Amino acid sequence: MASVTLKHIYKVYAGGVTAVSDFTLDIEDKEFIVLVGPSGCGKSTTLRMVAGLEEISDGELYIADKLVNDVAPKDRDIAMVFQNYALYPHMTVYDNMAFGLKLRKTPKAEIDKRVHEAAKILDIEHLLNRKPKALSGGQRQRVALGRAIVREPKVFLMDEPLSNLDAKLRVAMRTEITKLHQRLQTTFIYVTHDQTEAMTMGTRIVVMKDGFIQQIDTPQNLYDYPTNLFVAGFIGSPQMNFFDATLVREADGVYAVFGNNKILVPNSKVAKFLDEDCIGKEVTMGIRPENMSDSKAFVEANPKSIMEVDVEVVEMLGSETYLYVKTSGKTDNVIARVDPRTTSASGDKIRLGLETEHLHFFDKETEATLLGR
Amino acid sequence: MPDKHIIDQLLKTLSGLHAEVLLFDENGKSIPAGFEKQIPIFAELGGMAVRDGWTWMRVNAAAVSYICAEGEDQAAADCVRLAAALAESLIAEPMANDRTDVLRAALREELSGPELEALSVEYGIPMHMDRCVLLFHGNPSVIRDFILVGEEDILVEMDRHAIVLVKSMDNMEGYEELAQLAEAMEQTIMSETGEQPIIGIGECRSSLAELGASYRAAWRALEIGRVFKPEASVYCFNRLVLERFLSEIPRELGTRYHHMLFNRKTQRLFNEEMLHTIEMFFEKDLNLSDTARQLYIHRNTLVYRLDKIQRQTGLDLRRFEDAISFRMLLMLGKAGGDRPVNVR
Repeated sequence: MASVTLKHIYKVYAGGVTAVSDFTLDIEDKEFIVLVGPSGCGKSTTLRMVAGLEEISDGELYIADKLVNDVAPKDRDIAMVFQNYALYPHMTVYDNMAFGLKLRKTPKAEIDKRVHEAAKILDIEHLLNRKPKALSGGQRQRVALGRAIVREPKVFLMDEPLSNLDAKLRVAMRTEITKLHQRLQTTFIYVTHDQTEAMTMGTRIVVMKDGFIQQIDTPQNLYDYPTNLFVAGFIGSPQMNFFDATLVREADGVYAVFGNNKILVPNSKVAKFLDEDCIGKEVTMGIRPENMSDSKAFVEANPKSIMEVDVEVVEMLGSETYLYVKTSGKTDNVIARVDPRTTSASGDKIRLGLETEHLHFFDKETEATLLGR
Repeated sequence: MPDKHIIDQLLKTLSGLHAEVLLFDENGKSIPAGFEKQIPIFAELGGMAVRDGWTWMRVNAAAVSYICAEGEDQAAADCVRLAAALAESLIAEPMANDRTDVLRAALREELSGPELEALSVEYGIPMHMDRCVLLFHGNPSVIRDFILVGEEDILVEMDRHAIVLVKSMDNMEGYEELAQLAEAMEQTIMSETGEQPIIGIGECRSSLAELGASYRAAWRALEIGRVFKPEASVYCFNRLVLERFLSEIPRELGTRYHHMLFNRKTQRLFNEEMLHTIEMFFEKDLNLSDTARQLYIHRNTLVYRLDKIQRQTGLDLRRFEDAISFRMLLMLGKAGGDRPVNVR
């Protein structure tokens, strides 16, 4: 059993700077939990507290139901993979992987068995006699992972292990780490500031900002039901489009009005408002780029869900096309992901349809979502 | 005969006292020679006697057997006692118990050339070998077991907060590999003990006599590194050329230049997000695409930010010269800021 429980964990530095506030989380055995957030949000500090590299200012930490606040890192049965993994340059891959076990005076035969097993899992058996300088970046990353695997820990802690790799390699290694988790059937706690990494790898994601947890949920729920403006903007690429809109009730329904645009909010969405007092007030409306369309058929079928826009930039990426447009009631660009066969071009005035069942609404002051699930 | 250096040190200390204090060997000869006095008879070691306006004490400090101070009052007696205690502690202790003592003294530059040569022969420490000092600032008792010590290397505990690895460069392929080794050891220490060591790497030197210079460089690397790169934990003296140069600039001058760019007018422009963007742009060698990818922002967003800086400051960070100017002015702010707590 390798559950990890954090109860009201705080990290306060000298001078009163609070890096982590009231962090409470139950991580189940074998779960792949991702801590995600912008730089400085406290995710690495939280991971370091779990590892024992930072003292916990307040709160309790349990690993496998054992209180470990005052337990030394080497006795916590965890293994950490750092962002800047450093291999011993004069040691072979074998010796690098075996080093931690030698320090613990593990018998030679056992070391040999574990190193070979880990090397097989990572497909680096053929590299065991090589030195780090003869390895590629991805291979070195695997050796760093191997160094952690041989310890057979209860929990793997990974602090942005892919950030130093180039984009292509990052994508490949992402898959490898996911497969590793499935194969090892061990608890993983993974820190990243890349929301794509978080969404593709985690069974659950913890979104953090300024030391506080914003939302803990599955990737799909974070995407569909962001609890506040920050989560909505952080998850999803490109970022969700936000509008300062006023909700107005008219005879035929509730409209979101901004500039010269007027968007009918579906009844099913209105029914989800947690408090109908927001109708008549200014709110923040959000819609993802992928929930917009410039197709003639869609626009004609949804006349009350249209924005009049001016196309500024068309970005063709092959499998998809992004339109950067300007519309009344918004100073920044709106980004729409449209069909790659679009005929919209820079300089055009077009009509853009919104898939209104995917609209989001947030309180202007508290930034909390106005919708229930 | 104890080291002359020690005797000189003792005499220098005693010369600063209010009373005149003299030393004599067991044959009644003064140290240094030139003073003549009749030694009183003492019943026992540690005994005191007063004779002819001088207070005497019998001591056991190798070459020094008698100490006397001018006067016959309590002050003279106290003076003699203190001098005796000082002599016994300085002289009685052997210069070196083992190799680590020799290295420690060499690192602190406490030995003269001939002394060092003699001790290196005595303890089998090659006088000429390429070595480099790695200084680990942390709790030696916690971290020493995790420092890799090769056959030709020597580990020396300097004090409660520092331990030095005198690393032979024979099996190292240059300074770069040494830095990688330091980083690997730092991670091992961190993950095994929870202790975060800070490591300073000095310059490579080919003689034992120059080890002190490497040690000083390692300390300097720590001190300067903590100012300019507080997020790091391994600092290489050879890689801190610009930082060393900037730290030599008088603080007032540096601050004045820093404020040419970073002032009230640009305070809003250079917020945390913007500074982070710029640091990343420099880290990625002024590559727009790599920087945008690393920051998870659109390339256009990055260009917009750089354009904004150019509009307000005249500096186009995409141009190498402007980037250099900007970086130096930014770093001068760190150099001119509050000094860090002295690592020592």
